[in-house]
Amino acid sequence: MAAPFSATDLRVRREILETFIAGHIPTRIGVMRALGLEYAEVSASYAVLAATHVIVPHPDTGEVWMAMPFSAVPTPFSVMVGGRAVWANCVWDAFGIAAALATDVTFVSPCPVSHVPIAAGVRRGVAYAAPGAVVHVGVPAPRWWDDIGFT
Amino acid sequence: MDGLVPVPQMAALARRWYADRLSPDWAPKSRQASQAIFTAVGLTGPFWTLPGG
Repeated sequence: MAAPFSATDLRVRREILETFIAGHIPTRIGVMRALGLEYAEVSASYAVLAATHVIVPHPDTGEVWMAMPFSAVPTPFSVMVGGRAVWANCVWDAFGIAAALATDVTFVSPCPVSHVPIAAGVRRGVAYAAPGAVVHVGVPAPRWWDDIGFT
Repeated sequence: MDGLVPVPQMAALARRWYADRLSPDWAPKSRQASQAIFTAVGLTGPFWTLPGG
């Protein structure tokens, strides 16, 4: 894939991720101030990042809803990492936070059938969960982006 | 079922998918590279075939 991003787009992307990692929710105003950009520049980068599925803007606000593996809104996947809680979009992303940060995490995921909380995480680089636990991916890959919020 | 993934396999997918997310050299994965990650962790078949494949 040809890189579709400008240097500004990449800075905006990085700032979004760093904001999540710090335990905060990114906003266009916050990104603008952190990077010394104009609001229009940030908005333009958001449009590029959204078009390439790097971020998912909230349909009502235009602010970041998802920047995988992070979620800006509460989800059933609250991930403890480095003493902070961040939200992942799904189990895949909860493990993805550990991978992206190269660190251990813990999270509790509700069983989609019984709704019983299942403890899981990564300890010393090794994933763990309740014995026999499986992850249910409800939407096949060809349709993930039909409705990424549902996926 | 196609969509049921054992935890170790999901964790392996996450490692490969997200390991470069904060790398200074990060670049978006091509469809082929993404598909190769699924294949490498044993997720194959129509359920795991990305659009355009």
